[in-house]
Amino acid sequence: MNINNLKQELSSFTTRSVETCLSLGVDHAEAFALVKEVEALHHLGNAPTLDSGTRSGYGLRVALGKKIGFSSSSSLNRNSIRKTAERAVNMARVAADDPHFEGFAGPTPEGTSMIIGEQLLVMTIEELVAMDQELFREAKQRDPRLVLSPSMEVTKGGFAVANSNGVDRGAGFVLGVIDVMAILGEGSDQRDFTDLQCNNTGFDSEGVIDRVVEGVTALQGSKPLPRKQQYSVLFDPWVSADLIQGLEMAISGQALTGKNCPWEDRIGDTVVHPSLTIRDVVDDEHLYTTIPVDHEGTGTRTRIIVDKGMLKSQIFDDYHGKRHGTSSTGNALRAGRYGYDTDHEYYPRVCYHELTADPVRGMTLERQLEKMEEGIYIQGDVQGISYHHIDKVSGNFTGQATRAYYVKRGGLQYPLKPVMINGNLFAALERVTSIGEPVKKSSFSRVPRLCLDGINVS
Amino acid sequence: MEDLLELAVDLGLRQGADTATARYDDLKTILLTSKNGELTNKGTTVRRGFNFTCYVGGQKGGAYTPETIRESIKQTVKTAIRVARAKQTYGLKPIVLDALSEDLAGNLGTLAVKKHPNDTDIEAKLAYVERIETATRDSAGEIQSVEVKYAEYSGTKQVLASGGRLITWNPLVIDLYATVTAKIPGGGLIFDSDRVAGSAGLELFDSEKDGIEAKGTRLGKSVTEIVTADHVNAGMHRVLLDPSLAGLLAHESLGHMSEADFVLTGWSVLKDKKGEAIGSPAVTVIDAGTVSEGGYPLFLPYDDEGIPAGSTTIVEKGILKNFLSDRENAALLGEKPTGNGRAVAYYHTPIPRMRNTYFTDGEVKTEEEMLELLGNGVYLQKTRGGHGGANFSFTTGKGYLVKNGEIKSVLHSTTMSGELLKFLHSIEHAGKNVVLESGYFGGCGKIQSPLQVGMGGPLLLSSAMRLGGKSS
Repeated sequence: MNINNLKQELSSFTTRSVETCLSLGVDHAEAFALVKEVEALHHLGNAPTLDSGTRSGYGLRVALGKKIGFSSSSSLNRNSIRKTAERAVNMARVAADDPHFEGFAGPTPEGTSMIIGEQLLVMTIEELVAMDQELFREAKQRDPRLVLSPSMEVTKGGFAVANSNGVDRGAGFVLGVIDVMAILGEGSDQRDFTDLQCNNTGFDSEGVIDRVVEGVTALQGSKPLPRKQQYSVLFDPWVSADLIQGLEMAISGQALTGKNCPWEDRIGDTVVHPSLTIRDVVDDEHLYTTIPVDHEGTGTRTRIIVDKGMLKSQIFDDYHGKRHGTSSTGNALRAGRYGYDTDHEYYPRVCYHELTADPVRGMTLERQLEKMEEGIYIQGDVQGISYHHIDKVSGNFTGQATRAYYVKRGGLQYPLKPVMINGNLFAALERVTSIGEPVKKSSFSRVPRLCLDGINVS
Repeated sequence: MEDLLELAVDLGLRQGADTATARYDDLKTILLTSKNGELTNKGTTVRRGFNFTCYVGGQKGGAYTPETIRESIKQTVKTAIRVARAKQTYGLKPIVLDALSEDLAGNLGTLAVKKHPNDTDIEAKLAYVERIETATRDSAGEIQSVEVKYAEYSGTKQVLASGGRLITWNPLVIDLYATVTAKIPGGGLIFDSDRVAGSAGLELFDSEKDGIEAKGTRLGKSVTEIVTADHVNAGMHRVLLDPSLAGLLAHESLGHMSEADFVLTGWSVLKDKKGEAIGSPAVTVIDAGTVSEGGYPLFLPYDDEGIPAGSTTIVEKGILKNFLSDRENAALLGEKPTGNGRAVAYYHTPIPRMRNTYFTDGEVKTEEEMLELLGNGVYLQKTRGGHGGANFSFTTGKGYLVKNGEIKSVLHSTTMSGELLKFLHSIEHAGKNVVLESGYFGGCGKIQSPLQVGMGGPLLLSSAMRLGGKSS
């Protein structure tokens, strides 16, 4: 795939779509088009599932005065544009006036583009198969009892967005995900451990088997939790990222409009522990979530959301920015941060790009553990504390951790049988006791380990 | 499209495939979203695409394209053959699929409804959105916001497998989903939600018992109750589960553990337990494509491999009877496929996934009798999702503290967790009325993106469930 050619083709398609919409008499038009080529291998059962193909489509937003309509199609056939545009116009005709609508986004300078890794760009299904087979060989050598379940996916493609307000932008992207789970043990003693890497430069399968074998072996011989009580809990980067992403509604300008924003009217207030600085990062070219423009074509910028505990800013798309007397922060995405298969099927909505917490250099796992008299160390993923499961309005979270260790006198003591943890995210982030060192670049997020006090563990 | 499906299957066989399955989706979704009376999102989505799966030397490969023109179809077939050949390098035992049965086209492919969404204009649909917001607000105390989402999903699915005949059917799902946010004393927000949804015509919205006004009123009253609710004490409790929580456990825990791919990989705690008692005699669980029980199940006459949807008894009176499989995993298990080969979209290969999964009815006739049998415990209602499997952890929507068989106070959302097998053995009684739910929003998230499923059951009484208690 030639990313530059693809961007040009998509740009030509979106420009043509906008023209078609305008020819139907609308006052404003916006077109978003997307192509993704995916090579996927999921080795879940005894038989791996392999497939390869293209996912694509486009979405049109039109406005008749202040009445807005939307329509999308999965085909990028130019002959389909007019029909799709007519459906959008028909939706607009029956819509009520939106008094807050003031047109679509205007042109802004572009932000940073991610590196498009050549290795991923040319990767074939045959290469994924070879990697999978090598992982199995390695695992068998290490421990024949291991059950291995790898998943690998390479996604490459691009999107373009154009509107009647002069926007004509786009971006290419590439993403390689390698997710390897190892399972060991029988019955209720069975434990699993997963190594998850997301990368835009290439697959790095070296060391994966070492990590999962070490991880799952360390979880064997688990013991019950000594007491059910509130503990200081150290979360690994995976779970810490899930927790920080639970702030989505608190930082969203869309939630402000919807009156269900937990941090409404809190700009300038201390909302979390002063050791926490939270950014929405979109200038790291090694991050697969870095895009130069958002899905409305607005340039993206890294933004400090919380500075040393104080809420500095919230995030907006064009519509909600204007509605709140400010401008877009370049945070319009469609299906969400990970860009599901069907971005084009959705209206833009306010979403962060890569929510991170500033790490503390030199704060190794050992040093964080040293600071804990008694507590729990939890590794991801925690069932129930994924992005989808935290109650982002109340902040309540609850989940079952199957990868947990008891910590005493500054060291890991033994693995625990599955424990339940629950707490309130907003309250818990006021009780940060330590923040870990930077995570490696291939990690699926940039959030370091967070240690939070007063978490209920049972 | 039939001729292109025939072309694909023929081309696949000529290029060396042992068997080939060509699939075409032509699906339309209309979405309307309103927040506090403002229509924030309204749109139509058309998703068309072609998927081709084949076996070469007994190994499966898949490919897909959204472009349903002859050249794209031919290229997709070629890619699938190449993918299957890549899989041959594993040196796995060749898979021979079970021959398709003669009565492939025996099921009705269209759900009979009085008011199909396609025959109703958009203004009428906008009126439904307004009606549920009004019903909710009118019955609620002070609330912060109301969000209403309307969705309709309809169209055509076609499957042609070598050795079979063309299967055509028409999915239909409607969903009107309301979420209310309210402030709680001392600060903080809580929310509650309810829906009018299922495979049904729009006449469902006017149903006196389960329609817009009934559900909206119930939701308004429910959120008002929760605002001043107490927290349950953390620990083990006797619990009564409402049909939605019974359904969640049937799907997320038992259902997933009975999916053939999880069984074959060794992940499932049920892998060697067929024929064994895995629950109390009060436990019977079924997974079916078309269901005549109460509530609003999903209409699914065929799976995405063209297998007619039957009814599979997973557990009968506590004994594990069957696993759920697609054609490939059925062959690996040496069994017949159960019609569970499902795919979210044209860009997914079918894998074992559930349809309508539910606990069947028991002997206890009324809610009052169930509460009496519960004695002292917690009556849990509504789901907020969670994680299933051998160890489960779910968030409930609300609850009631029950003392001596009587409801004493309202309880906030909490978590319920436990081990599947212990839970199944802890079920003392099942109620008489089975209620199933399905809809567009939410769904099952196994590997692929969310897939519409149905789930439900009667009231279930469990002697022991760990509840999470108050959040810090």
